[in-house]
Amino acid sequence: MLIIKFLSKLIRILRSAASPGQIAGGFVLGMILGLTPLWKLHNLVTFILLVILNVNISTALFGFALFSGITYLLDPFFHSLGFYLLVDVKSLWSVWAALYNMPVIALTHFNNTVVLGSLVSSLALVTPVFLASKKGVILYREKLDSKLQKTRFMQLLKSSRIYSLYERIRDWRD
Amino acid sequence: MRWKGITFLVILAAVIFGLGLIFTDRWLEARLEDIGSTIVGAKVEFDHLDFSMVGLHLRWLRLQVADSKDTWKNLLETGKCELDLRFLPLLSGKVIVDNMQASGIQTGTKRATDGKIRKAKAPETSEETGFVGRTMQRLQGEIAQAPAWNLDQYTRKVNVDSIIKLLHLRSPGEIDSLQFGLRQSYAHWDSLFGKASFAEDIKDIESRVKSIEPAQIKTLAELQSALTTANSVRVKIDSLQSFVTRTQNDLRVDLKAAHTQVAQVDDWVRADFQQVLERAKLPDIHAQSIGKRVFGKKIVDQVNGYLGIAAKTRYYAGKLSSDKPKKEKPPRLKGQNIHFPERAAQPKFWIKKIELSGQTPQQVQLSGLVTDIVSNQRAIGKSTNVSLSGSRQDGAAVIFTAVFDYRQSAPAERFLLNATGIPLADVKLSDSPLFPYRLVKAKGYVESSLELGAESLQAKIGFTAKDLHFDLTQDEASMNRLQKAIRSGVQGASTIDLQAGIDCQGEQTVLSLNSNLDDLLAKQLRSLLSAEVDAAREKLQNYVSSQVQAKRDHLQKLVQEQEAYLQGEIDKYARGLQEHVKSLDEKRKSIEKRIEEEKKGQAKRLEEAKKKLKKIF
Repeated sequence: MLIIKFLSKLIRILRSAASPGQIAGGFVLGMILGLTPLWKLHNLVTFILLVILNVNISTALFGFALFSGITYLLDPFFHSLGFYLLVDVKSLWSVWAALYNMPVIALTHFNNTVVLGSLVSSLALVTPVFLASKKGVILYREKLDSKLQKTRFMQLLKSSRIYSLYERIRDWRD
Repeated sequence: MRWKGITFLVILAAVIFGLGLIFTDRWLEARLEDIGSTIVGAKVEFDHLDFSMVGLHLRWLRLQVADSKDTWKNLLETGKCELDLRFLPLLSGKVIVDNMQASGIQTGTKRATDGKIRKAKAPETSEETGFVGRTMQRLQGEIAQAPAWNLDQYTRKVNVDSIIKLLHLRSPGEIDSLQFGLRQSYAHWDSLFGKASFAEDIKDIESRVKSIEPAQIKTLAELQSALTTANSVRVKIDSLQSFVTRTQNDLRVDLKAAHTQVAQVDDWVRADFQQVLERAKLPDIHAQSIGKRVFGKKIVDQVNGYLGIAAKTRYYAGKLSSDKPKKEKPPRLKGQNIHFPERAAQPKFWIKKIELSGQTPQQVQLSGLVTDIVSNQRAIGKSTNVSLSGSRQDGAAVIFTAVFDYRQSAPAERFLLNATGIPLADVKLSDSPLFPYRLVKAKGYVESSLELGAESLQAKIGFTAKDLHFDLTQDEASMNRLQKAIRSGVQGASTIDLQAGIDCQGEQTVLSLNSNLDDLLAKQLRSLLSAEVDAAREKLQNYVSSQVQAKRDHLQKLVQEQEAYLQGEIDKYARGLQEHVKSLDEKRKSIEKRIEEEKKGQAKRLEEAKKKLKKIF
């Protein structure tokens, strides 16, 4: 049920009127929210960007849900990366010390290993994920959508009671 | 740009601000209680905490910090407290307080609810396994090693008979085995002497020597025959004599070995007696052992209380000011906070001054200052200092100072407590059954100091109690003789004077405890028990002797008799042979002389005959 819902949502987003850039932008912001600890100051900035920029919020939610699930598995990697950057790289100590004593920046808890490790990882992934997801949206729309609609899977999906219920709810919401 | 989004954000911010104004107090209270509970390991509860955004003023009406060792008591309780936070450091996540007032401070107050926290026990701090933690364990070990007397043995007479029933002495069995072995050895010699047929040999030699009568021998041939006989007898005697010599040597060695074995009997008996004494567990009473037994636990608990505080402060001071932290394994998604103390920058947490007021359980009003509670002392170049003093109208006074110095790589703490004329009412000085009495009334005087270094500890505790009034209302008829003896000693005491010293260097710990009560109680116990102990020892000695002496005497007698007999036999044989040797040698000499004379005579006669024949022819 969850997988069907997930796939339905994805397909819906891909077939929506939003531009590939908007979808990719939303996805990237959702990725940052999902990969990093949620209740930190940098996510306030992410949230503000999500609200004020013209990005697809559904994609952001989708991205948040997707990457939240992965984050638990990647936690040891983030901790190790954060510890390496904060402690083992001696050339950065002075930078961290300056930021640690700087107003507002100190409130971001960047000195936490998981916060820094996950933030650095998500920022590193921003560009490739944005470009890849934008390209993916374009590819889907141009080449895959029509083929997918004709597949047995989609027929089943559409004919299933669950999907019809889903369409009714969707129509009601719209 | 999504203008609707901006509008939404503005509304959201306003709502959050409004909710913040309403709920900040509760949220802050919960956060502070959570943090405090994690540090202390027991409940920390604030009552009516109020945080004002205007002026960043924080106050509360009551704070209870439960004692993790006795969760129905508070380690610390405060009344009204207030402080102001500085705004700008908060933007850097730093909490800086210039001045804090804390009033109504009390310790050891009772709680209405259990202060135990449901969460798992606070993780072991590195200092619990470091020098401080190990020292605390060693001090506990010192008290645990104090003689663990079973006091029941003092409450009734020393019962030796029941012990004797359970005893199993080794020496009687050993003596029997030794006796058996010696008998076998003596039997061997007996058999050897029997086979040697000493009497027959002597008889034979005697008859043969007697048969040689040089005076009755006429002819040379008879003389020569007699000489041959004499020589053969001599050869036999020689052979017998060398046998006797060998036998005497072997016997001497054997008898010496027997003596050595017999000498072991004393050691066996001694070992048996020692075993008996150990089994009986007759008490060894001396003052030092009593001092540790009576007061040791209280002293060590007090010292360990201070050491526990030092251990915790060292742990957190080290964590917050560490130059290169160790990689920890935090819970999932929590991460590890790395701190970057910078000497020029402000520390993460700093309360510059706390003005305290409160009272001790003895109603001594205290006031004082705590200065520079800080996350990183190196950033401010100052140590944390505590200075409290107080007095009562009746002249009781208390001075307490403490210094926590973590500016150098080697941490150091100092505690000083002086108290004079402190009323002691309903106080139990010791939990030991050797000193069960409560002080109804007395005045206490304390002078103590504790200096803790990186790997060293020196502590001195001097305690005097004067004008003693003990609760001696217990009915004497219900007391056992030990209790009566102790009571008699305590009744006579007008002061208690206790001096304790602790010296730790690395892994070496020396705990010394002296008090005037040590000698008093030791004297009482000794007078109670010494006569009995001596009588018990004598009874046990007599018992061991009774079991062993008869066998020992029998063994000695056997050895003496057999030795005399065997020695006598072989000596008799040797003497017998010697006698006949003398007689035989004389006869031989006589025979040889006569043979010489006969030969000479014969030669002369032959010469004369030759001359006569020459004349004829």
